[in-house]
Amino acid sequence: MSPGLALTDPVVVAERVSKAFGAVQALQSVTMNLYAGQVTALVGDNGAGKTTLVKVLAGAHSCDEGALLLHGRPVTLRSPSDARSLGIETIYQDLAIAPDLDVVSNLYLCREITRRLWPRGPRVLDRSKMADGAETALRDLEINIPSLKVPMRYLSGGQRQAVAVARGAMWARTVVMLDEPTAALGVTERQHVLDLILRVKRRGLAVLLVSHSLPEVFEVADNIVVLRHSRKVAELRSAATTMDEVVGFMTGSKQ
Amino acid sequence: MTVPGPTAHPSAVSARRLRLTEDASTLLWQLAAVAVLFTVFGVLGTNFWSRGNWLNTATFGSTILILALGETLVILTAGIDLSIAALMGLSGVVAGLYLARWAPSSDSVQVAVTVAIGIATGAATGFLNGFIVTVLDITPFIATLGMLGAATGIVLVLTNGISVTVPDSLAPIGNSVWFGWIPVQVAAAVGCAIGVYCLLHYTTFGMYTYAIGSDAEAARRMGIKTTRHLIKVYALAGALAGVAGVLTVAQFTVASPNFGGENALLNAIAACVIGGISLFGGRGKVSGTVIGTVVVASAVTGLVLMGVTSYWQTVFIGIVIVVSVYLQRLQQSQVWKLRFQLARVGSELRRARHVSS
Repeated sequence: MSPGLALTDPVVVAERVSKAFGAVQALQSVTMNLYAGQVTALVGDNGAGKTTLVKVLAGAHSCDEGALLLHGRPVTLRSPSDARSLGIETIYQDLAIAPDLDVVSNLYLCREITRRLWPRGPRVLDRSKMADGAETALRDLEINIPSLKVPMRYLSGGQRQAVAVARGAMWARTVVMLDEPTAALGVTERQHVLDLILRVKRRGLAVLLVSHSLPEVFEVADNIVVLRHSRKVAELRSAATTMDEVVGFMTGSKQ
Repeated sequence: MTVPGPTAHPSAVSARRLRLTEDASTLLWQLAAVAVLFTVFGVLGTNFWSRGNWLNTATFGSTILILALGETLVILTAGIDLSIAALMGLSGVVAGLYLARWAPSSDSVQVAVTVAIGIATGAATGFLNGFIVTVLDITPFIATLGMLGAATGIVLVLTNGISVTVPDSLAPIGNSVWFGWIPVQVAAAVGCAIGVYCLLHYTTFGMYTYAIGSDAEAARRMGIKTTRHLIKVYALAGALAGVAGVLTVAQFTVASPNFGGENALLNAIAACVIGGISLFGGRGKVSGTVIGTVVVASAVTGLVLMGVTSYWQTVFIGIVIVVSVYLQRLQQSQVWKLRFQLARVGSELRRARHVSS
């Protein structure tokens, strides 16, 4: 473990992960630890391998070499649903919600609560139970949505992203990964999502944040992992580093 | 207690009211269209308000409705099924030929088998549509256009282009009129409409259908097995076409190669479009499809009663399709798209500034 990092055991370890797409080496022996109750930011220039690493952890890509450890035990993720069943939730920047469904449905999609119409009868959606659950989940995360029964397309970009994050937080048991969650948002909305990330972290979940914005990274992250040219070049404690140093690692002016 | 929360947004506060307004205005427009049509036909058409015309229109409209319900499911997933009318023809002819030529007898057991064969033919060909659209990844337009051609051709091969008379034992399924006012087709169509409504609103199947039509990639990432679901949707649309096919053959006690004509396709799509089922997927209700069917069916029979030659019907329906899509676009997108575009441009600008700083 790199010096200066927290001395608790990591909940997720990506160990010496390599991934190639044809002749292009996307990840080369990258090792990264994620800790419960801490935000780890993954930074690096475009093409550094951030999204590939997230997708490996999300089960969307398999890794060519290396191992993933969850609570110290090796796991194999064959599909995104494998990752989900292990409590790993991913929130993609643009593809996180179904705009024509209402907030409740979006939070519960693929994890619907159903009830039988009569014993052994057909299963129908239990909307009132889901509405109660959704209300509680959003209240716990201090997310304020005027109505949970309108299609998501009527909500603002920030509210939509908040619902997407809430969906992740609601179902994650170990890790929430956010791929540039604030990229399409305005200044105020960005701040609300950052606050939301901190609330998710306080629940004891490990958070992985992919971001291009260093001010935002320094605002919420405990640890910073820097990728450059598909390799990990630095693993820093954000309290013990500066923006200049991180930029140095990202651009290669600092080794 | 409503404290303005951390993510409160001025536009979203009235989101609920806005949706209600939009839904209400859509419904209002549709009902107004029905009222205008009924008034015009009532005044200009002789016997528009007669039992005879009701039976005519209702029987005709029921077939359209059953096809339109299947088309609604497909369009909600942001697809289109151009083959449903052809599948109706194919299912009807296969069922009719079975009873006329291949069945050991024409008793009520064989009639039941005939009905099952008709629906199964529709479901199987619909399944094939779904397979081609998802596994072979051919756009729905082309996949179902190919199926339209294939099904139409198979009908001609099977019948040699000649109508085949079907035993009378099938007639009760297509000719009964209950209590003097309710043709059996109406009962079947209402049953199908209630079934599709329940499926869309009370089950996970409906939720997945809207989710896929909303954003197929997002739906996949959220864990929906989109391939499997789309195959089910196309198969169900095919099965409904099978129901319509059996009803049509039973009504005329003839398996005709002309049942799957383009008019039926045109009418079914018109019913969906007039009913506000968005061709982009994800938006629309069964109630809309029902109202759309009422408009199409009463327009067709109403024009006949007004003495307009039947050749003009398709011209009218064609124009109505284009006009109602245009009106939909005016109503939905103009206001909202513009707003979202402005918001997006604004946030892109802010983002660019943020990155460069």
